Amino acid sequence: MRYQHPLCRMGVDSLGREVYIKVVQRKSHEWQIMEFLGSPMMRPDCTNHTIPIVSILCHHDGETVFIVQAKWGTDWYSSSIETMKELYAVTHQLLEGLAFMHRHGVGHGVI
Amino acid sequence: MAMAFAPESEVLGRSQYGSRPGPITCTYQRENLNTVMWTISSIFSTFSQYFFLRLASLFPSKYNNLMSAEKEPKFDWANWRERDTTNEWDKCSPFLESHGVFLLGTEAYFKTPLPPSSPALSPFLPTPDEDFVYRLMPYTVRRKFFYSYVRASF
Repeated sequence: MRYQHPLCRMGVDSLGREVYIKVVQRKSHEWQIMEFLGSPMMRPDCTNHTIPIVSILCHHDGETVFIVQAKWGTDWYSSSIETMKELYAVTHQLLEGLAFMHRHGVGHGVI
Repeated sequence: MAMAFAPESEVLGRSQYGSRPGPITCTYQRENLNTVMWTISSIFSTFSQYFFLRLASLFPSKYNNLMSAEKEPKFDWANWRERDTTNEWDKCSPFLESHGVFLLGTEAYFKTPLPPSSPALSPFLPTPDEDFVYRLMPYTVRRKFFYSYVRASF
């Protein structure tokens, strides 16, 4: 069994698309950052390469928020990148997305 | 006068409807009937509400969630912080299912349809009729674990 983060789970949406579900507290910095990056003001930015948010589910307790995000691929080492062109394109997107986050005062944290 | 009144009250009251005179007895019977009908209707409405809620719970929607808001379990964030989250995820599974999100390992997970065949034109802005990824082997049966072969669409 692969390692799973305790606050993340995998699943599918009603259309059968694989998603990641992340649980956060409403008062946490993580929720504020996710809300900011996924806002309609930030999303159309062509350098915003953060994973899109499919839906945000707020629980009735007023504290718990479930963030449903698209699941992309497996991971960097077991990806199906075949050519150098694809590899450069992916690397360019990663760095561009990182620069976008830094430009808005957000650090990735686990690179 | 007394002799003339007595037989009438005998006929209307005791002999036909019991100890009360006729018109009063009829009202009394109507009250009984009303009580019985009220009891039946209240029982019926209680059961119909119960069956309606049971029936509604079979169809996930945002309204079901509103109806069962009081029954929703509260999450223990102390457990979330201590990373002992198995119970917490089990608790939130019905909530997520009511919003059309099915956790891996649940029964509903395997009953979901296959994803749309067309990948998103813009992976960062997917529409509801598009898949998030380009699949090398579409139309395959969903597997128990996530070892599906996918790649980003360029």
